[in-house]
Amino acid sequence: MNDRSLSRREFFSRAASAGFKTTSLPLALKVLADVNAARARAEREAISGKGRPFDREVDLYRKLPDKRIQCFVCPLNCVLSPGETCFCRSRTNVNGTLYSRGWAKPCIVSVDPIEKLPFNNFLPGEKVASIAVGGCNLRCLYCQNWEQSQKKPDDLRPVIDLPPERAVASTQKKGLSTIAFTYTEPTAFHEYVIDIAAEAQRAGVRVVSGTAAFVNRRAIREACRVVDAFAVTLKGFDETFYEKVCGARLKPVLNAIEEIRSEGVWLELTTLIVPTYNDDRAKVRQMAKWIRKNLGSKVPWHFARFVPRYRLKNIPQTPVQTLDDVRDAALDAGIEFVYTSNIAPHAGNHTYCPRCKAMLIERVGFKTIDNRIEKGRCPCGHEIAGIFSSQPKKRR
Amino acid sequence: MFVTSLCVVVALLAGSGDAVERMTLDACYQEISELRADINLLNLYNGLNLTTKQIEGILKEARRVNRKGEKILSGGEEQESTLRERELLEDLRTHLVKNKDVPSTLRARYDNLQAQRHQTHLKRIGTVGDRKRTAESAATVEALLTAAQLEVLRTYKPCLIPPRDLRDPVRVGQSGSDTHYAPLIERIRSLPDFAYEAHREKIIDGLVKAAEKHNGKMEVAARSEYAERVAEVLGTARSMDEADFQFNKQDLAREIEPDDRIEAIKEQLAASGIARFERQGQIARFFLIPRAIPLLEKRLKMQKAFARGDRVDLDGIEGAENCRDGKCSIDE
Repeated sequence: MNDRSLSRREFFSRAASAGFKTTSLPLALKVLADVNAARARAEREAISGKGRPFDREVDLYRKLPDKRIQCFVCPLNCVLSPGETCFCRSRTNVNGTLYSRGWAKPCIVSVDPIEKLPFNNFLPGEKVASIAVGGCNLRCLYCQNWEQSQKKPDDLRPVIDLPPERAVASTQKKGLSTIAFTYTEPTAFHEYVIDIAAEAQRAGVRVVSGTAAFVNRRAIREACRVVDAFAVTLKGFDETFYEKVCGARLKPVLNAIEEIRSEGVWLELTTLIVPTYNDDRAKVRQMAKWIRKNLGSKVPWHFARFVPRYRLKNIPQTPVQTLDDVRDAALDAGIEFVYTSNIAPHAGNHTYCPRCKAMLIERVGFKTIDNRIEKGRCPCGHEIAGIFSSQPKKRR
Repeated sequence: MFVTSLCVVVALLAGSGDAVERMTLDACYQEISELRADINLLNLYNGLNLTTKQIEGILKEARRVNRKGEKILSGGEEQESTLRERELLEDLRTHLVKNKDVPSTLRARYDNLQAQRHQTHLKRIGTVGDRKRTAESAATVEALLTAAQLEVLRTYKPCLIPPRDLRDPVRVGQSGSDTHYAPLIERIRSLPDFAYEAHREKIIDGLVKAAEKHNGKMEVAARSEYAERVAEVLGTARSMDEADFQFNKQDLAREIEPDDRIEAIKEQLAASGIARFERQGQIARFFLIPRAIPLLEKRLKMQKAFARGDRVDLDGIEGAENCRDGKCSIDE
């Protein structure tokens, strides 16, 4: 205990500080409690149909007897009674009408390199306006953004009021020409994606989406009409893995990926390699074979290093040798652009010419050090698959 | 008489105890400094993700350089020279305490020792020929590393706990900022007006002090310029609406991040063409020193012995929440 006597200045300073704490803390707590109560009341009223409902009605659903509905956005096809919310936590049956809870309510807005989606053959070096809304229709045990994805969009704080026209205008004001939906699952806020993308298309702004593609064909087709590129995470290659680790199913994901490819939209795939879960070389070869057969060898494939997160904290991060191994397996199987992410520096960060094997884009992580691609071609003349010019997009 | 003898014995014992403690402490300091050196090197090696082939190549060069060094200067030689120096200095002190002239024999010993120390120094830093060999080895190691690895090496600052971008980079699809100033501005922005106004000076002063702590004391003019910049950025951040702020927070954070002087000097060096010379010096310091050899050997052994774990039985794990029966809804 310090028994030194206080100076006059210290006495007044401490007294003022104590006074401020004793008066302001209860006041702050009360304000917080009032805000929470008001929010909960508004939500209850919205759901019961008495108050102002959520802003946007969902397009892809059907009405059933007794005010029940069935959602058709994702393969779960949730059937909801009034007041119930979909598995994705993002759509609620309000008195027989299905509403999107997260429309124009993003929880993350930031500026990122496009390589973070990841895209390595689509406008490399470009900065994008990233937008994420809470909620997800998967339950991946290793989710690295679970604080946002495993919550209802309106439960997150802060929620930014960002209607589509404002999102596009802010992107342009910031001097950016691409909007990215990432961090959480765009399928959970499909309506917002479609509305922003339509607005962006009018303004000549590109839209890209990072998704798990656990989505119905109709919804992905709708998205393909307005989205310029998809970074799809193909999480594994067997139903058990999808079911036990991700709480989803593989088949609909493969269908959606094929759909994207057949619509002619730029596609890059990512597989997070979790040690002892999906790092089997034979399985990777099997995946590579499927990719070559159904999508072609030019679709870039990223192997991302797993880092212990969320409910898989007991597993160590992926050893570099494992990543090297699966990358070699994919290259041997004939995939032309195979990358390693979440690990830098690494030989798999760079883009190489499939013909002369020269390094074309040199990176440290997301940072581009050198880009030798000119007009979409390697100096050897070989055409490199991808979109390398940031000219305004064409309307499809 | 007895009491005096006892005191002498006690004093001697106490004195020897001090000496023992001193020695233990010195050994501890030495050990700490060695541990620090090892940790600094390991952080760099981990951050570079060296391949087995690269480690083999680096080890070959490190062994080559250090084998030469061993022949030139053995540990025994250095110890002997140090002991001789201590003896000489003790003798010199004895003469000076007695206020006597320094005898010619002592002068001769001193000259002799000086010459020997010069030789030892030359051997320690390497003769011209050895320096050339070290430079050759550094060039070989440089050729083994990729441009991206050299970029990491260039910006590497020895550390005990590596920064996030070296050990744990922001990952694909992961939310989060690459600067800790962004969340800080966000917190300051969320302060109510009355609280911000009441503590404005204190907040700005705190940020200036933090910058000085990180980057060294600023001159008066630079300090006030930085404080003005901080005040302006905080004002801008507080006046923006939420959407604009979210789009701009990283830029705002970068505006108040203190300039990294060491980085600026490195960039000047790079621009002046000394970069290659500096890089080879770095390579020699990090890869060609004796400490590097056992660390790289262990790393190589570990990488060669790498075996993938057995495939997990997915049916045996507590799986993710699932929706197979169509009853997926979440009740309010």
